[in-house]
Amino acid sequence: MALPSNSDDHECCETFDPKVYPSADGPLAEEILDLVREAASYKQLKHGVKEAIKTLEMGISEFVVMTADTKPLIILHDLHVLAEDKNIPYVFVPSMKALGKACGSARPVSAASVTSNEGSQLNTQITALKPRFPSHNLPTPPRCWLPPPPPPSPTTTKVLLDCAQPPPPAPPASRAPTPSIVRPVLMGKKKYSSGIGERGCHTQVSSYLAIGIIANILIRLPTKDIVRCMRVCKSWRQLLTSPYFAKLHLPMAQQCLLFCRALSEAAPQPLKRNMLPLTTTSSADHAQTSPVTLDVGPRFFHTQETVGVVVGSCNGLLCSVVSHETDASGRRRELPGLRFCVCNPVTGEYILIGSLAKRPLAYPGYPHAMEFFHCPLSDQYKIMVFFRDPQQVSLPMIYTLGKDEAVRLVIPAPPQIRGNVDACDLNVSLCRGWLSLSMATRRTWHDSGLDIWIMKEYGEVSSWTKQHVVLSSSLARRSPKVMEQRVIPIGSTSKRAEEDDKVFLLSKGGGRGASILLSYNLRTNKTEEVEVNVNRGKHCLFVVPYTPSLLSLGDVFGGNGFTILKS
Amino acid sequence: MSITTENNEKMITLMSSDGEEFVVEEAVAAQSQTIKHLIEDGCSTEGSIPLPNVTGRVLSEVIQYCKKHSSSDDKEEKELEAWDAEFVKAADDHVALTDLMMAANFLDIKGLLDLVAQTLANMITGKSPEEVRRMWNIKNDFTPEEAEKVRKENQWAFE
Repeated sequence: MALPSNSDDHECCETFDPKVYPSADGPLAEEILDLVREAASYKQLKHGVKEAIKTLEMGISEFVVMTADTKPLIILHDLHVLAEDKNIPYVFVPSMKALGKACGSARPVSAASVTSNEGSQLNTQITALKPRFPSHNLPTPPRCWLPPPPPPSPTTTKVLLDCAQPPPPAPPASRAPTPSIVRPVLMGKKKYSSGIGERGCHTQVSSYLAIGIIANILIRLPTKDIVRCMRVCKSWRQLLTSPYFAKLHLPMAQQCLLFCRALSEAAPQPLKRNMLPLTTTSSADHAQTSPVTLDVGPRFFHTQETVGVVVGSCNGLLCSVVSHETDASGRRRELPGLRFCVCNPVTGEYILIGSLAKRPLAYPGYPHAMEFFHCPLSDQYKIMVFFRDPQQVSLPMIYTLGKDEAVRLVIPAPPQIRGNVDACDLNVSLCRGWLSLSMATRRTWHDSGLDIWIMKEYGEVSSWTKQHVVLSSSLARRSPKVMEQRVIPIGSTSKRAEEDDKVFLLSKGGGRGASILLSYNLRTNKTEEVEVNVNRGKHCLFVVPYTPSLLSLGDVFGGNGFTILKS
Repeated sequence: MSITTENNEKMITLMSSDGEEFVVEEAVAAQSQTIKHLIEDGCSTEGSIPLPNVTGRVLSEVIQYCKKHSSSDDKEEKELEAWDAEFVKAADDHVALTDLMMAANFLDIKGLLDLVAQTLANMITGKSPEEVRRMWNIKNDFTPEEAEKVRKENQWAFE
């Protein structure tokens, strides 16, 4: 999907954008922050966008302070429009951090409202400062972060203003008369006014009130329905394709398991080998009963490059290794070095990461495990690559997307197993965000299982914790091959990792290549085979936990020198 | 003004946009963060609390919800869920639900907001864009060319 108008979000982070107006800089900003600090000590301050909006709705706000480096800026939209409608002075200061400090909060704050209090000692200061805010009357309209929807009809403006009416001192007598279309007071059951879509005022969906409400409803839809709703009208499309919505939607999205069959050399049709057949389950709970196919196949990797294996998935983005390239004549050739492709199957965008190929890294052989993950602290996406090393247990390399460098880390194995284990027997993976090592153990025929070592504190050798997985004997009887295969923890599908008891294990690579998905309950120590309705054939099956998301690669990686391609 | 009942429960008067007055216990009204903050700031001591965005009909439904949820313990979660389901069913159509949602948004009652939003989302799920438009009287403002472009971009969601 094209994102028509979100470039604003990037621009205003560096310097003051004309759209972040009126803005205070230098000494004036300092004075404003000083007053905010004092207001905080007099308890005449509410911070946070939601709280600030509330003070405006209550009509108790003296003025509003917003920050220019808020990202994405659209979260201030409602507050901005409301302040303007209520005729409350507002001003932008440069830094969220500074405002946070002034509010007495340890975290950055994007907006604050100084509230009124009759007889407060601050009143003279507030009255003195307000007129010094840069003028609101701009030659260019200030509400620019949402691309302007169709110009509001008079009705819409009224509706907007009406919603924004402060609690009048003595309602309803003193309330200004409102147009009947807005508030046809309504005792009859059916003659009932709805905020949205009173006949003819469709544009109301773009009013400040409706944006939050519509978004709140639409984030709960399945991804497919969200994409479908983009066709409803222009303002919905703007909302649904905005990075703001993508961020709201992310924590609501249902996680599921994504199945991909890697292509072997024996892939039959030359045309079809550009695609990976993908299947997702509807959600984790239904993994056993009702798998649903998500039709992403034709869009996924419909590129010149042929794709090898899926490295991992994170926030709805899939990362895979690009090992081969198909040229114009349809011939396939192997690519040197390591190349990755990151794509979002929902938006159809993908990027190719060739940096590792440009600067071939000295690595010992082919990596035996890879992971793709997001670091919330630095807000960066990273790829972790493990190589086998006879000396160390494993030698991971971390590649940060957007930086032309790879960091090599040596992570020490748990002392208990150092020296006792052949490194080749170990599997390395990230399980629920933790680094984990796993190896098959077989003490007796009836007690066969798996040791999983989890590093609970990153980099802390003492935090390695052992978890022994006992495979149930019925399973072992049914599929004796499981124990000879590599069993890899692939993480859980739950959002709240610490509350969830289940991890998924994938047994792959043994025998005839058939893979078995197991779920393991950490509390009850039970393993179960997960039945999935995927055609388990001759090819190896990859499974990754996957959350469909609307994140745009342009928003995530734009400005880092990546070319965003579309399938 | 705040009145005190026999069992020492403080009462709050809420006034809807159309002038209807509702007298409720403070614990019930405080389910709404907006009202709670008003009470904390001492707005309830002088007369009733005006709620200019909420009509009497919607407010009575909101109060019904708040009453149920302030009197129930966590133990009765199952029962509460069933009650919630009945509650949104009784609101009968998406227009009433939308009003309820706007009230919940203004009054900042998270549980009600989530409940109604989820109900509305369930109503939209599986609907075509045209059906969604009809539901909320939204005008299709795409030109035929634009509509075609958007359709092509998202073809997979319609198959």
